[in-house]
Amino acid sequence: MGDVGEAVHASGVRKSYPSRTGSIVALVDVDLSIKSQEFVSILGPSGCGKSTLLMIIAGLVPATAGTVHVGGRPVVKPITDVGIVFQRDLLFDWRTVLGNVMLQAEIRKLDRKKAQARALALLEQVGLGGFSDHRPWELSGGMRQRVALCRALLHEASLLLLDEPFGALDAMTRDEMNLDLQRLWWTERRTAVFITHSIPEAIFLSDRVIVMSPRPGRVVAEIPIELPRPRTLAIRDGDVFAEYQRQIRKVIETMDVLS
Amino acid sequence: MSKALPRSFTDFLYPTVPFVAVVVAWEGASRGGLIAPYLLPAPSDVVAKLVEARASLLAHTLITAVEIVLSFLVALVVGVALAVAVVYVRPLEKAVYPWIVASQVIPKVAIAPLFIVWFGFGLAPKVIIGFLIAFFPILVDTVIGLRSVEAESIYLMQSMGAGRWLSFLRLRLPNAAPNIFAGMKVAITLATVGAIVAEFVGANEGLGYILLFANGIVDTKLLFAALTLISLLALALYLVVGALERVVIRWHVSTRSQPISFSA
Repeated sequence: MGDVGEAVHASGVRKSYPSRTGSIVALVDVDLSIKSQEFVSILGPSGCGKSTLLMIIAGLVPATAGTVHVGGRPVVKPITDVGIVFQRDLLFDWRTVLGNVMLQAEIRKLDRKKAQARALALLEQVGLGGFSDHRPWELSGGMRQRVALCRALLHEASLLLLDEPFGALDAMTRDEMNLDLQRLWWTERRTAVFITHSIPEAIFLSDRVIVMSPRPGRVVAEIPIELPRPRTLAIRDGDVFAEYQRQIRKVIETMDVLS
Repeated sequence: MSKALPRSFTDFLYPTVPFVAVVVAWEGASRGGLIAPYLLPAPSDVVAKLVEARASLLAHTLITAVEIVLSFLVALVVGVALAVAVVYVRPLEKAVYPWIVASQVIPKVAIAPLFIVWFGFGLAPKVIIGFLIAFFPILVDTVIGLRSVEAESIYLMQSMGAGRWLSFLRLRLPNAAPNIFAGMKVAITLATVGAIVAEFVGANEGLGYILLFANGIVDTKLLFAALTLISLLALALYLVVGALERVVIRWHVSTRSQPISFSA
């Protein structure tokens, strides 16, 4: 647990919710180990508890049983050395694009000048250079989620948690977002945990793909992805990529998820 | 084929036409002897009365305006504070909120005389009655606004290290601003009702008092003059709140002038 180079460690994590008909078990005996600077995707069908797992890692939702360590320290309350991108962009309409990114700096009381320079640079990098004074509602879904990504990166946290951030976007925008994310992660290496239900997206982005079963969620497979980086969209047409896809689909089919 | 008139002009023209038509018909009916002038004085006579008694009417208008504004401000402060308490203090929500809601079935107009007994004829009973009538929409709307925050938005704030105070200040309060303004717009008109009612039951100054006084001596010109001033006062106060809303929540859907969109 105090292992140097281990960023996230979960052991025996279990989560159940009370309900009228007894309790709903969302996660059972989840063990995870994520290395520092590793990009890991957690892949699973809807409702398998993968988002819940991410929230447990972030300390935002308590686990019913088991322990989680982040950066060697046990998670007992919301961790703050983290940047989170949620399914929905959660931009505040009353703030400008820059203001939304700067929220991170304001709450953390970071040096304003430095933070603003970094915010503008990040926006520039995702192609939103000219939009810093715009309001969120003037932006498309993809642009909004890019702003949310910049907000999560601003403070250079060592851990980046992404909860199906591109799930609501169209396929073409999604491809662009994957490229942007890879580039940003590649230039400022950090640990990233990415939740998705898209097999190609998981392979494209990750060093390792963790496959979860339907509810109650368990880890059923871990597949290291050994594709060279930086990856281009064309890599998805290659045989190696296709082989990974086949391999993951087989895992999922044996769980009887896709039928 | 006529050329289209500019939009700003038609926006002004369309509501003005029926107004002018009604005033002209009214003037004609009154002057032509269709309706007895002591029942319905001609608009020109009302205007003449307004001009003639302007000094005294202005003084009474100011008194009523002060009552309205004070009751509105007290309603705003108490309404928002109570809403925050209800949202943040769970036992308070269970123990007090249902009673506040239930208390709204009491017609506050009916208890107005009691306040005269308790607080006398001064400014206090007017402000209290105005406040009691006006604070409820602010309370209810603010509670809704403060509650309409996604769990994930709270998570986002927590991951940044924000405590309850910062989450309130940076998330819940601005998120509730459109609701608070909706409540304020209802409240400012209700505060006007409250002030007039309070003056009805016990006052010797203010436009509500003038209304009763004019009624007593069957001076319908004065009565209409006072009515006109009350309406103008209520309208002016409403417009002030509306203008404030447009400045404070420019970002909200309800105040955006035109949709702007860019594609990715």
